[in-house]
Amino acid sequence: MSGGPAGQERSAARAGIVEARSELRAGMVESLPLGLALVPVGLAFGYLAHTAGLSWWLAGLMSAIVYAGPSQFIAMGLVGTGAAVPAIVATTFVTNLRYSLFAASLAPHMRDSPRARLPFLGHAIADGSYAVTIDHALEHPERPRKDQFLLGSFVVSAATWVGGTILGALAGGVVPATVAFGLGFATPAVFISFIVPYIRDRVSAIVMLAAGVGTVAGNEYLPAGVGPLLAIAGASVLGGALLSRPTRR
Amino acid sequence: MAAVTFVTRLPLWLLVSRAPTPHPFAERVVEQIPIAAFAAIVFSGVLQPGGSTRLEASNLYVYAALVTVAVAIAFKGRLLPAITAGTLTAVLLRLLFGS
Repeated sequence: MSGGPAGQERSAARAGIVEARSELRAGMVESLPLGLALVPVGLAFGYLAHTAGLSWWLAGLMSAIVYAGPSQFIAMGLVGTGAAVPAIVATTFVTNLRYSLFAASLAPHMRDSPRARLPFLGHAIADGSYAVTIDHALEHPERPRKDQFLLGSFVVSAATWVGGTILGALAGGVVPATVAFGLGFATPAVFISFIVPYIRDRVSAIVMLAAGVGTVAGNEYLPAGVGPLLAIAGASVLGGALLSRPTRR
Repeated sequence: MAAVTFVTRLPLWLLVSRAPTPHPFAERVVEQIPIAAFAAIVFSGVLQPGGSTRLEASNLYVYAALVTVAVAIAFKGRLLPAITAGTLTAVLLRLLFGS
């Protein structure tokens, strides 16, 4: 029996818990392919960290607390060239500024999440988890608690990324070159399968090309991390402007 | 590194999640971020493997990308078939052509 306001509140709370658990599970399950793709990248990073002189536990710790693959690769490269710590920190900041754009894009879907969790969940925003979560949020706008979905995605992604890093630092050099070459394509493959369903019209195709070409040109001619940031921001503004134009009759 | 990375993830996250409905133009811009972000990762991953630009026919990742796009279209963007096809194509091409 659950008559009365108190009973209804208990039922609503129970339903909320069930929904939250369901989203957590969905986030974990839908991120399994991403997790598989992260293993080889983690192996590669771990091996690079090992060759740069980092111990396996330090490499794993770095992957856990920074949790931002591209900037970690760049940082290891800088360590290899003997760059000063402020230069590494500044490069990391610029490289990861795109996460601010990702956060801005995800945040409107998280309005029903508990406020106290947001700072912690901010750490979960990385390329892969962002992709899986925004895809889920746009496909299922009616489902509550997208924060739980992001958390589930983070659990799988972080476990495979950190695990891959440690494994790579301990034994990364044993992967044959041909296999490593194929596994190196796993990350682009993941994002190709994410982007394909989004290219539905002329504007989305223009945004894709502007961001892609801009990133490649930016990586070639601008300091590390600046190109992707400018390209993503510029292409998004361009897309917004194109969608805002009055339609001709 | 961890601290500055966290800083990039935090401010907008806190602000936008509690802010009132944004201006329609800002909303349209934000809607484009996923496409732009995915494209940035794909183009640099395929055309700049290992950090150096390779806009040439001998870049095997370009062909692996074309196969992945075809499989992603056929399987409506499902991850596993696309990753498997793309990765296997890259390995196969490397075995055949070796560059």
